[in-house]
Amino acid sequence: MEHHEALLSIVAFPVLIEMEVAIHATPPSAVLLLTLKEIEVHNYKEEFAKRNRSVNSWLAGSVGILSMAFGTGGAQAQTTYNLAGLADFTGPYADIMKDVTGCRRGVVEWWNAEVGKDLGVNLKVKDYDTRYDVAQVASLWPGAKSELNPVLVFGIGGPDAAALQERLPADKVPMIMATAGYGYGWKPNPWVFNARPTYPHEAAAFMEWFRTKRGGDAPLKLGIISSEASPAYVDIHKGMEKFAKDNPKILEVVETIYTEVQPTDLTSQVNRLIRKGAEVIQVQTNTAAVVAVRRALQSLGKNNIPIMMSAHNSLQASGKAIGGLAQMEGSYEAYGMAIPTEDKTTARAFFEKLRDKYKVSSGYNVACLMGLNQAIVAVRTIESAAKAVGPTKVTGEAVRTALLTVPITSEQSFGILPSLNFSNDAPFPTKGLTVNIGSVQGGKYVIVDQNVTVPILNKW
Amino acid sequence: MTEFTNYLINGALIGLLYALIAMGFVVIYRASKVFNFAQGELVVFGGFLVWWMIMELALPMWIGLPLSFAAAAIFGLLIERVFFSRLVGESVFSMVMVTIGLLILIRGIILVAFGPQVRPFPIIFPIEPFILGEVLISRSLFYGGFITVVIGLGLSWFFNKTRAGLRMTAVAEDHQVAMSMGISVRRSIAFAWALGSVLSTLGAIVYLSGKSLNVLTSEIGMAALPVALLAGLESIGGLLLAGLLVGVVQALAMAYLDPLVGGAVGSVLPFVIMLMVLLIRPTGMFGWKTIERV
Amino acid sequence: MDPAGVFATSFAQDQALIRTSPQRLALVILVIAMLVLPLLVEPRIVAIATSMLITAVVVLGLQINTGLAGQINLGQAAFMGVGAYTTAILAAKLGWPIWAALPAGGVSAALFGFVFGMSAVRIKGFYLALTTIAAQILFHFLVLNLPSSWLSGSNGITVQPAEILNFKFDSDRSIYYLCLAVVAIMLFGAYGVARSRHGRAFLAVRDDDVASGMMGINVVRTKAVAFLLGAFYAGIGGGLWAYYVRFVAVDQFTLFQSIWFIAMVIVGGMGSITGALVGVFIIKLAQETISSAGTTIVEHVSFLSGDIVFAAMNIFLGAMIAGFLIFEPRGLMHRWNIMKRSYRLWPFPY
Repeated sequence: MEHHEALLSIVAFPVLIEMEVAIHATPPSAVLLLTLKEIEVHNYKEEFAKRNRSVNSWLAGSVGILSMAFGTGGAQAQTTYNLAGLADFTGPYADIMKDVTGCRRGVVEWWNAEVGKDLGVNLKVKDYDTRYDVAQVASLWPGAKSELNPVLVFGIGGPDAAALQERLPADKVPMIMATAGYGYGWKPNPWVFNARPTYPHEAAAFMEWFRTKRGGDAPLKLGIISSEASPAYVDIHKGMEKFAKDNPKILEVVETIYTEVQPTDLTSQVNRLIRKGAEVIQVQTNTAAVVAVRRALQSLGKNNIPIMMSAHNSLQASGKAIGGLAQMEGSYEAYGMAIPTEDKTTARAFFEKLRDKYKVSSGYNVACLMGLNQAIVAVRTIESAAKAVGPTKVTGEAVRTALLTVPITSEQSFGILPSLNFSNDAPFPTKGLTVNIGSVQGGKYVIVDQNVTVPILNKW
Repeated sequence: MTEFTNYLINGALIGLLYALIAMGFVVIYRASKVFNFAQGELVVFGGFLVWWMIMELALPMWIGLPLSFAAAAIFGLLIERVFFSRLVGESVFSMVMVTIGLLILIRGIILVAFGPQVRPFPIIFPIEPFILGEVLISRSLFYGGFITVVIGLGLSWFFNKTRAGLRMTAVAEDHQVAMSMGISVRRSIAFAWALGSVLSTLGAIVYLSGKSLNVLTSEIGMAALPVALLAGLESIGGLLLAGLLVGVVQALAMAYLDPLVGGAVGSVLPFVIMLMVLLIRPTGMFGWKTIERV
Repeated sequence: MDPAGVFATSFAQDQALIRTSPQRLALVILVIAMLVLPLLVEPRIVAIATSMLITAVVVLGLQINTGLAGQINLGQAAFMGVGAYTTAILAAKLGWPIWAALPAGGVSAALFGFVFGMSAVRIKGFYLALTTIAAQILFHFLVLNLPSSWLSGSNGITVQPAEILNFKFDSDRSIYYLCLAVVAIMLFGAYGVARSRHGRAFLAVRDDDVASGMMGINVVRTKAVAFLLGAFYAGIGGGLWAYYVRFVAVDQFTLFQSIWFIAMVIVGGMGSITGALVGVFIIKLAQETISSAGTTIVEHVSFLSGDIVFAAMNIFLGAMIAGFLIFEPRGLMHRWNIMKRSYRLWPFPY
């Protein structure tokens, strides 16, 4: 596939240059030169019609070079850099992957056309299928590295981080993740980066916000529904419990209840939480648990107790699983990127531009936002790196340095992310992060609050 | 005290749900001596059939449910015909591994046919629970428990007291002897698989009513294994008692041990029970004791 | 059977694995090819080969346990996990070097396996399969719930690259050679076990343990040793995995993995050591092909989405296990032997 593209670009290069010359309102001499060259080429073609093509393309190439020398305002030399995109096309998350990679690609193409061109940098993404399996990532990476020599890797989930976090410092390629971080990834000198803080960070921000909304001085009572099916779930509730222990005036965890991946019936467990005074129930495992909790609340008649979810079991996804968004009335989701409602936000406008101009075919949903957020961080960082070391000298290490030194403002990310200030202590910015909170009100999916500050959390 | 009663009753009802699913195991084992690891997948497949008929094709429940049962029965027959009729006389290892292969195969078929997204399951039993004073009983679990007891006792009577059932019991004891008595082993096995499949669909309806369905729901099949073992793999009536025991123990563990340990003891406990059963008395409470000839 | 003109005149010759000179030549070529592989092919294939080698160690253990001794073992991934965690803890927290941590990983996995081996004495067939599934679930539970300072709970353990005599195994090629060396050693061991009296005892117990007990074979000891060996191999494989990926987490060792391992044993041929290697190769090759072909298919054929390919892989695995068991229960090695035999006998039918 790529060989053909390369050949095509070699052959098309001179033609494009010529067209470029014509488009950029060149002085008359160039135009004359252009017409003369066209006649030249045409004559040659007539005479040597039967000659082999290589002669023609050599001529075309030399014509191209000549016109480049004489033309004004033509395109600069573009350095092309490769980005490796890890994705799960055939594994457990395959159903959302088209949206993630589609939006990812859209951002890169937008950047190439509107920013990279002036900088002299062109980015290409190649997607690899990891099946969400550590062994597969580990065996894919050496090939990807030698084939692409990438300056950056897009990671999609736990297995990517697990397989590569030890290799990337030696291979000197930074990875940008699409998801929130985990406690066990919170280590200094990172080469794997998250634009979002950890799930407990996002949840803690919500808890503080909700407590203020509720009013009063008493700590907010939280019930957690978690699971031991995966270390990721365990990490989330451990983080919450630590936050509650460090901030007893703000949050109190009444209990953490363990369920299976598909809970049978949570009525008695939820009843227990309510009896202990839980004012909000946090479910950050999957949509099946959200559905079970919601049904339990409905059967207990306690529809006023909200459920708090994250991006991966979002209101939209849980709504689909329970048979209608209206059933999730009054529940909340909170995460550190834009919330994909119908409202006309800057983020949505950006997405619509990508959809209309850059042929992104996905819908505006959480999966797309995951792709958007990691891609925008990547391209802005490469932009800073290119400005810092020059467009021809961008390497993985330069990209990482740029990420750590140059902040990415919210305007640069079109409101998809808050302003990001990465540092060497953690894979995510430890200060200055905010979350957005969405809810279902009156049967509609709305943004309830934006830029809610994320509190400082200690490691657990 | 009311909390304790709550846990007790809900645990017992969840245990009866496990018993319903385990009934599928036992019925299949009784007739064909195949231990069906893929029972959880049959539950999920039955669930998807119900979802498809009632949510996608929008059939009314009194048409959709019987059709799903019929489709499930046909699926069970198909499995038996394609896989197990060819394995007659093969070693136990082959049978076990074929059901494990079947587990993965059915999972793949479900993914291809119905997609990997989480689907909403129709509300078959109303959501409001029964309220007796301070005790809350989930309506779907209660009806499910009632159905389980009725079916359990009914099947137990069928297998032990009716002629047709005794024929199938004879097949379960020894295929060769049954054949020499003129009993059609093929027909018994086919019937057992169809019945097992229908029971799985029923289990799916009780388990999932009002909740969501996704291919990972098959984990419940693993959870029902300890119940089948505790009862003894040939006893259907014993399943009711074993289900009650496992359900109550699990619910109490989840309520009192989980906070103590800070971990999901309740989920692991059924497997610990299973290990203890295997080590102390592998034939379970009511299973048959076989004498092995060398 | 041997081709015409080849016959053994000593016990050693009779026992030998390489019986003719073309076989010897083929072996030499294979060894040279394995040694030269990283220099000839692209890094992706070297990485796949490393992953195949690590799986091969684990599946060799499974072949000894399930193929030779007939003890169904659906917990091999858990034993591999025990080995991986032990090696990781010894290397990362206590600073043991690889030549101590790797065998220690194997030994601890063997002990874990021994516990279940003892239960195998009384339990057979699918009951044993259930016990090993319980081992799998117990392993998951224990890692997540034992104190964090012991096993790092949900955090996983990071391992530094293996180091022998100041040479760091941190490049793809060096890890490949390390795994190759370990596989060679374990393979010698496996062939040795299979041809020894222990191997014969395994086969006897597999065919009929009551009868072999009456013939004087210590059935309890044989079954325990089978589990011990199988788990030891799994532990060594797990240790290699720890040094390869350098991050150990409990969700890398699932029941699904165990099922893949058994599928490799079935496809290769139960009871044949070479069969284990063949099974690993074929199934890993199929996995890789479906993954890469799958992505290309998804790109070009628009109405098929990626999840269909994942589902197709499940269908493929399930159908393969069932198909092999129904049509060729003795696996590919049996087919191969039949082909060899008919070639040697040609033009006679038997």
